[in-house]
Amino acid sequence: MKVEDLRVWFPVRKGFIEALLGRVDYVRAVDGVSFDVDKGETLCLVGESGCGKTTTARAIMMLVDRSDVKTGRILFKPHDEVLKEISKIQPNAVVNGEYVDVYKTRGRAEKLIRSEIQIIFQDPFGSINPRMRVYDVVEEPLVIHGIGSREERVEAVAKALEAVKLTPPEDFMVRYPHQLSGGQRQRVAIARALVLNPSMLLADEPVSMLDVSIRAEVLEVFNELKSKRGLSLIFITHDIALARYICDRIAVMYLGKIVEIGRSDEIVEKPLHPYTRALIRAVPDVVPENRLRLRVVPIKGEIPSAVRIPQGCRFRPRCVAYDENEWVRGFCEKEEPGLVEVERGHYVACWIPIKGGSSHSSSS
Amino acid sequence: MTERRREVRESIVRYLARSLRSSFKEVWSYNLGKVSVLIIGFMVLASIYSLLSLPPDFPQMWKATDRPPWTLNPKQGYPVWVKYLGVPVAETVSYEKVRLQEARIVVPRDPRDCPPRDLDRVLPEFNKSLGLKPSCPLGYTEVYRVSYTLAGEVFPQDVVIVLKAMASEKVNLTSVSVIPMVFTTRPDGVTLYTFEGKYTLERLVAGIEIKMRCDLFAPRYIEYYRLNTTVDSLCTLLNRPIFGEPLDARASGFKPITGEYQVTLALLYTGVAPRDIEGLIRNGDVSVSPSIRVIGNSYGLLGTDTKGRDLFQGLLYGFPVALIIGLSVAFAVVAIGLVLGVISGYFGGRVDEVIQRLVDVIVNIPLLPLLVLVGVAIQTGGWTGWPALTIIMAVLVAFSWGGVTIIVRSMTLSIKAEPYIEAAKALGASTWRIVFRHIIPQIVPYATAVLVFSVPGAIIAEAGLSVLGIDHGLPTWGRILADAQAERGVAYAMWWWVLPPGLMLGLFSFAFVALGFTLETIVEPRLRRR
Repeated sequence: MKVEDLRVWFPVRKGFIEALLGRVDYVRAVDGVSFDVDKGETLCLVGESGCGKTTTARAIMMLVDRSDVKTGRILFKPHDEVLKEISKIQPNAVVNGEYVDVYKTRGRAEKLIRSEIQIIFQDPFGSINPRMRVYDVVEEPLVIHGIGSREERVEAVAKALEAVKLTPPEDFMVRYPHQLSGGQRQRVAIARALVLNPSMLLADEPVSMLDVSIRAEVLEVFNELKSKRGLSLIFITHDIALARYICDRIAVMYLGKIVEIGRSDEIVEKPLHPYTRALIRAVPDVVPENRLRLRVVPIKGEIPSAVRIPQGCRFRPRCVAYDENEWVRGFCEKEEPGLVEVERGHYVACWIPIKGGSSHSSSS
Repeated sequence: MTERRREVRESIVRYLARSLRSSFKEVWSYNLGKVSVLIIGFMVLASIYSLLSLPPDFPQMWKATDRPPWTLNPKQGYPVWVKYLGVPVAETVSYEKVRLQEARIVVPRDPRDCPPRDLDRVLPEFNKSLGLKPSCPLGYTEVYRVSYTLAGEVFPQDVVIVLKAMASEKVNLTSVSVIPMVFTTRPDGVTLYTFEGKYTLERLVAGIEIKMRCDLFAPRYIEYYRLNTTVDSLCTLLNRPIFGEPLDARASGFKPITGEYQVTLALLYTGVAPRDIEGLIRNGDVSVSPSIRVIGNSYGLLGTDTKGRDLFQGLLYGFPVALIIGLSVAFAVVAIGLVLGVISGYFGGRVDEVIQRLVDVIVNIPLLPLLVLVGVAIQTGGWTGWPALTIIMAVLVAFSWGGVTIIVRSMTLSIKAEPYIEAAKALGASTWRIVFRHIIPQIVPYATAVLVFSVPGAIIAEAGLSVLGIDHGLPTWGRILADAQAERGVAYAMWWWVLPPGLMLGLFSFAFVALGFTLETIVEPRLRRR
């Protein structure tokens, strides 16, 4: 999958006069995001709340209003049969003979793409209809896409539940969501996403609402899926430690843009962007006495409004490195840095590494 | 593998069956639920019984107050069981197919035969004072006799003779006439002779009811006293001299005489030779079958109104009507509210705008004056019966769906924002699927509660309209109450007229509200006490 220059801007409702004069402000939730995910690869989107991770995922899932997607396209490489089918129904959506531009698909083609990309939501309590039994929840995608006879569907549901370790599946099928724990619910959501055998899976903070004690069981399921199915996975989290554990590559997002992207170990061990460093510093220490020490997280202020994005580098108002490195201020104030490959496969959008400055500030 | 598949399927089927059966069990497990189920069950049974037992044209019958059966009932009659409460009661008894006592040809030569022998002890003074003298033409006479026991110290209202003749083509219907003569022998031994009429066979073939005190007694009374009055206005009091004795010489008041009364009916055939008519009767070419009905002061299980209508039948007819009004109005209101609310909330935009403005309008129009207008329109338009009621129901529905729509819309808006709706969209679910599988099932419990709670509302509204004078002509509970109000049944303390329909309305409302509360507890587990 390739995401190219994705911009999702939501209009802000304004007063009557402004609306009349045609002046519209936008919340630039996603403001030019590009990345790609290879087959079988896991990419993590990391960032604090409001940075546009979830909007990116929703844009990939075509869950935002098409009119809010201002630029960019999402190119997706589906299974061969699906690609063949789509090139028959809607040849104009196929790019280079191997990709499908998902925002060009309509009707049946769109439905086919939806069967190929699945998402797991953050809230396992909200993302499952409380009035449906587990069987109905997991069967629903099959019904929607008209797959299999009743018996085959029962079998497929049983297999999906087994794959997420809800065994024996018969016991779980007849239960209602409220009879399950949060971890079990999230695994039901995963089973629902898997039952169509998609080639791409998005997980939007799938464990952040679970108790720490049951996160492991869900993460275990993800690890197994990756190794067994060769599924491409976009994993969204605000926890960079978790990202390192689960992902091949990490993309750090700030205020609607990717500020750093690279292999997980490189990002965590050699962060180049001051924001990435701040995220890493913010991870709680497992050693109890260290926790009691006052820690300095190298960041200041609050995330600004996505309606009024700061001039120049958008991280500048919160940047500690900007304060410390006087020489770079001219660049930061004037122009927004682009993503530049500083090391092999390691891109960063910060003037300091780009201009060859020391990547590690004194504060770390 | 197939083994396991079957097990899975069976377990799902079992679960489904259990959940269906359990909702009834759940209602039954609450005392309030039990009560409501029992009452509603009773209402349904009563409705079925009413539809089976009452004639299909009962509404027309109910309106025809000048025709039998109502004219043969006591007016303002007590329920029969009030005698157990110590109220003096005269029973209403109908003697159908009275056995022929004797039949003979009256010979004018023998004065003892005229009037018939056993009517000798006619109260001479009273009859003479009224100027009554039994006529004694030559003829063939049939005599019928019944006995009636007056238990309570109260005047029966009347005695009615119902004559129905059958004749073959051989008979000239206009030439043969029948003179019915009624003698009442009282417990004190006095026999009152009342005036005889004269009716051709032709009239009797159509059937005729003769009221003793009005049709037979009153004309003589007026004639004798040279009263400046009409039969109708006088006859209400004429049961007193028949069933009572004067308190004083001036007969300013009467006291009822309890005991056994003999009512004798003599039918005298004229206009044809006695031997000929005897022959015709023997051959079955002519037969007059009389029935005698003593109208007491009580009738039926629930008494009668001022027009003699059986209130039990009216009440019975009210059951199916109440159920139909309540359920159909409630269903229609909830269905419209649900559909428009979901459309408005889910699709939004211009559709939402249109629906919401429409709701604003209908919610803010005062319903009552409008309904009064509709009622007037119905009456001037000549609508009556079920069509009229349907119009009233339609207006009730048309102006009641607004509230449900507003609430369903806001519920839809909040459900629409639930993550599982987004999840369903991500799965590729169609709009219809989202609406029917994910949104409506969430609203159905609320809709059920609204449905159940608005059933009594519709009935009460209909009753209120009836009391306001909007007449659709059907005997509903509200209509009976309205009649009671109009005919001053309340002022006369005719509790048997007012209480039963009132209690039924209350019971009906209670049953559905109780069911509503029970369902609410089931749907919203936080309200459960256990």
